[in-house]
Amino acid sequence: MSLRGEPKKRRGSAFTELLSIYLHLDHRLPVLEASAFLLFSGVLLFSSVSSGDTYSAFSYMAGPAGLSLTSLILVVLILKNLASGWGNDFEKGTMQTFLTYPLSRGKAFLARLVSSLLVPLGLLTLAQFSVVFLIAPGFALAHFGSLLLGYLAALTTPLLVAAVVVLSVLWAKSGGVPFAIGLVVYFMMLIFTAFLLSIGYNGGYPNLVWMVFFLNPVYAFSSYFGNPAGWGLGAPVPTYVQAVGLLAGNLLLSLALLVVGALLFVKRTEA
Amino acid sequence: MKVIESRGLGKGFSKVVALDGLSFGVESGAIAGLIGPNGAGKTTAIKIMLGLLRPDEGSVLVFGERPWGNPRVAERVGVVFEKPHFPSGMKVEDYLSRIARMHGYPHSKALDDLRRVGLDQARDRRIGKLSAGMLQKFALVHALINEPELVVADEPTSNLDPQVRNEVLGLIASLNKERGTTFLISSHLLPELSRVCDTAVIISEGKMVGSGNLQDLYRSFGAEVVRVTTDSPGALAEAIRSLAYVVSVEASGENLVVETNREAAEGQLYLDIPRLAAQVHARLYGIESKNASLEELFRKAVSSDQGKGGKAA
Repeated sequence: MSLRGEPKKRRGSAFTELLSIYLHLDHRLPVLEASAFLLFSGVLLFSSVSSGDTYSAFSYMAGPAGLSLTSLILVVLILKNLASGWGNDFEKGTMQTFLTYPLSRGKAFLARLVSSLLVPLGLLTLAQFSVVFLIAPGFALAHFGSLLLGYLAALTTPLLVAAVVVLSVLWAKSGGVPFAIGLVVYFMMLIFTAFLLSIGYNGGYPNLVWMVFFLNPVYAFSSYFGNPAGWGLGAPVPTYVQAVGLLAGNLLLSLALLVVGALLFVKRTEA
Repeated sequence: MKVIESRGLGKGFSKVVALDGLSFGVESGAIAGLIGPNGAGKTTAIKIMLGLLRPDEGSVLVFGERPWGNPRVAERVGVVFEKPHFPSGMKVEDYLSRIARMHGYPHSKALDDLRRVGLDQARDRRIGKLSAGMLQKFALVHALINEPELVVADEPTSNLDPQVRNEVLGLIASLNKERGTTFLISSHLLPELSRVCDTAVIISEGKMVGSGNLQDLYRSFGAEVVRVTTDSPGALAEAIRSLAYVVSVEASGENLVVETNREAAEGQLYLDIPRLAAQVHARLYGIESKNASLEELFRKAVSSDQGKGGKAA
């Protein structure tokens, strides 16, 4: 616009600036973020993380994600950003403006994903690892492998919910329905898997149990560590490799859904 | 050199054909008007040029490159949409400064540019709280923040009051003159468009029906318009309408705007009008020739195309 005395132009980064816009929009009032951080770190602070075996180390990390309130806050935070925030971009036409900026659709998709999904998950990472390493560094170093597995297992449900919501937003191009779908999927993951596991164990359906292990690898590791919480005798017990394989499979499923989301984003932003 | 070159563009949505072999070009440094009725395919053509849509057929090159998902093209183009959409929760200066940085300009450019259009008072206001006119101005500043070589504007003055409209048109003219910025402007406000445009692309039903320099277009579509001033506009208008070569007569106060088929009329009108005025006892105050307006030109071009049977599916 300036016709004279133009400021000197340097190389800009459209990705960084779009990410900064998304970060501003997603985390302007970080009430949910602060609550999630405090809850995740608080649960660990009060759970005497200083001693125990490998299962203890695993459950310290996976435990808070399994609790309804902490887990729900994290999922609601992701849903708020992905479903409401991103859905609004489509609904209100802001996405069209963003797509006129000099960056590829892949980078535009990535910017949204980093802000809406990776930042909340980063909070989880920061809260959990910082507390464990601060209050029991020796224990954390000795059981780092189990801590990491517990952390990754805790990620599976929010990641899968997020991947489903990404696809829902791109399908609906709005935020309301995907938000509801995300909540339904989350509660199904919590309640339905526990219900199916109970049927699987008590009714003698090993395939059903394996399916639940895949959907929620925390159960697979719990079974591997020998703490199946009163589950029936003769229930399948995965080996360590199988449990890790189930965890990897679950994470790969979420990743695959997000890749499908990226491809769908290119298709659906041809508006 | 052509900044935009469209060849046989075709695009359909379900059973609707939006573009049907649209071909045109926009020369560097031009202010081109994209003219057409609602549903002619203007917005679809613009979206393809901006890389927001992919054509089903044909191609469009902007700065010699395909615009779909092409950051190099986006870097050189500014965009104003008819209904601008920005994140409503962000503050005016904050958002604009991020866009300035995105294009490699310092934060201070945002405030400088806001000041130039009188929006610096609203710098701390959330975008969602701007009035329609302020939002349109903001959209224009946003489109120009990267000093683009080409600005594509879809109805850029539609929400503005006459004073701001004049300012915007003045800004377009000065940017074109001083920086050589090329503009492609789609607008239904044809009288305003004709103030700044030097070329026009006329589209109807997804096809180009006329394109080029405005004077050449006036000549090729044979539009001639004569203004007649009289004390009996009603009676004289009625009489003039009976002439075979008259296309339309519009009355406004003491004035009649008479549009004719140029070849058929060729001087005859200046003989017929005084004769008809005498017949209906009307006093003539003047007869003057004037250039056809862009609107008249558009009407001619579209009716000429339909006369040839050029109709999109």
